[in-house]
Amino acid sequence: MLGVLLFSGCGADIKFPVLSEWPTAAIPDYAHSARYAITDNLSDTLSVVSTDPAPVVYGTVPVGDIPVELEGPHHLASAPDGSFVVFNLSNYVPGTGSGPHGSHGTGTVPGSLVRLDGATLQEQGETLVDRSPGDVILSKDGQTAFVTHYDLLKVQSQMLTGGAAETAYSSLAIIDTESMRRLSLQPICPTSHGEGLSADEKTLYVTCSLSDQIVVVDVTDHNRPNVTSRVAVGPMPGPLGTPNYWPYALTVSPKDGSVWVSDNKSGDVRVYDPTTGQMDPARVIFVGGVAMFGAFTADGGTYYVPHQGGNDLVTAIDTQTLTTRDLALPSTACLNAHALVMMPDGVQALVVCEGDHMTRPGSMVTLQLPSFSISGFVNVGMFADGAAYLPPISSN
Amino acid sequence: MFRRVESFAAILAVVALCDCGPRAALDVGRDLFSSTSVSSAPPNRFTCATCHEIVSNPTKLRPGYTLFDAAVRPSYWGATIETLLEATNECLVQFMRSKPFDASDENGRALFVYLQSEAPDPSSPALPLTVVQNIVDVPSGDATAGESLFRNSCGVCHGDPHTGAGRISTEASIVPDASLQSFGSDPVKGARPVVIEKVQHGKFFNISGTMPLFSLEALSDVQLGDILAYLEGFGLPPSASP
Repeated sequence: MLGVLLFSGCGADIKFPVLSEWPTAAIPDYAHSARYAITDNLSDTLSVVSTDPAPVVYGTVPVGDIPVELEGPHHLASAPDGSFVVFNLSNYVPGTGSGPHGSHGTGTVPGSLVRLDGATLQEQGETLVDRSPGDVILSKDGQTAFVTHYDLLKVQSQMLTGGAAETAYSSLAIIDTESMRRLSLQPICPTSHGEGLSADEKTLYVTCSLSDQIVVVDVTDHNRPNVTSRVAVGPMPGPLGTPNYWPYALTVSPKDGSVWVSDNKSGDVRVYDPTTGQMDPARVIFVGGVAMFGAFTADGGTYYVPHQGGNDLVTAIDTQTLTTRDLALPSTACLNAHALVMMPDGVQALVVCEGDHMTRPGSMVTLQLPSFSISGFVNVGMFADGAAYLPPISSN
Repeated sequence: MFRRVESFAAILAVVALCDCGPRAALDVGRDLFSSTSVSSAPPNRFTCATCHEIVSNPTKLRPGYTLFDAAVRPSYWGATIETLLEATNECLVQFMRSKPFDASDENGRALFVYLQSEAPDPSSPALPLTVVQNIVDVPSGDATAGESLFRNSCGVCHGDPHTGAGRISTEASIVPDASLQSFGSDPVKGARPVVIEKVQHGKFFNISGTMPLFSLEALSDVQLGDILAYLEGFGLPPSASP
């Protein structure tokens, strides 16, 4: 007792000198400029890049919970006012450190959604999701995050054991970004990945890669998302685990709410029509490569989709005529295009390229859309896979 | 009346002994630095001083850098963490089983005041942290040097080899006996690679527990090889490498 008293002081009060607060992270100068945050899976960093007047890396911010391990920041989204960023911490990093106890990051542990302050990119909160989180998007007001999961192990396990089909389903996590409280974690389909919200934000569309489907999810109640239909993306879906189309990413058209699905294996873009609840067989656009995450112009008149496989290209699809134009991404600028993101001015876009996942870093390529040409590029971290816009903080 | 005066005097003596009134944050922080109570978890046996010196010219072999001038470094943990609070919380959470400090936590602030008092320079460079990602065998070196290195590093927590005499807690394994019992002498997954892994990965990379890791800056491969040679005297298998 006496020891406690001596240690704590009788009143347990502590007299602090001035300037005794823990230092906080400084707001970097670049936060006063428009910029993009890019997830670098294999560097455990977010790269902060400028696009104006030319692409340049402003800074690199380490992220993750364990400083000495790679934890795989994978896809991200930013609040409309740039006040925060959320990203998936996938905990799926092949090739990270190993020893007799094995390797961390084989996708057997839960991932998480991490919230960072938009200015400093310092962590503000984190919530556990399922293992192998895939994509993350935000509602228009930034209040709600939707996280898909690309859990290959569940599919493998179901195929090996022959359990119920639902045991192969990956989950959809819905998270309140203010409290970072997970509102629901609902199994929806095998290897859920690309996702997009309808204009009224009552419906979420999600690709299910290894079952050749998309699912339509009623997300009116964030606590109880409900799959209302499962739609094969083509007439000849493969068996579970051996897809013929491999739907990987999707984007919802701002013009008519149609859902444009990028297929990795069939090398095309296929369109789901929400008015019929079916894929539109008349709208299959062959792009000739592993189609990835695309984006529409504001009026929905053109859909730009990047693709990999041999040469990296961006295909511009006229959504009315379905005619296409290709733009080759030089190998010096881009290897393995992953996602195209429209810039706020509507006439520029950027493409995030992965690199080779080993020695060659990822990159960001900027495009001028009216001339459909490349205006620059800059290297970022290893295995880059997503970009989110952050406006200057003075305008927040 | 005399009894009441006597009692009052006794109370005064206790109060005087307690030094009632607010304690200076610097003193509280200094005490916390060397106290297991820096952690909110009662089972914790680590103090900050277990892993860090706080002198300008460190002489001990500890997994963590000296915290002299730490308050004015621009980053921590090999430039992966920007703020001292977050770096401190890594230690609390990862090794001391504690809740992290909130920025307003008074004990935490007191600890910061102490660290600040041991940072007389206006700035100090960030320090490297080179972690061996994939474990490979380390050739054995000089057993005599290894004994001194062991006592100055491993022995702080694990006590003497084979007996564990003086170890920090019964949870600290007896080296190398525990590894030999659990993993045998297999050259790939046996006690020798496990000891190397534990030293270079600590609790991380799927291992668990509370042991910090030794970066190459904290313990070189040559020094580790000396320690391995010393432990061979207690049954650790020699290197299988030619």
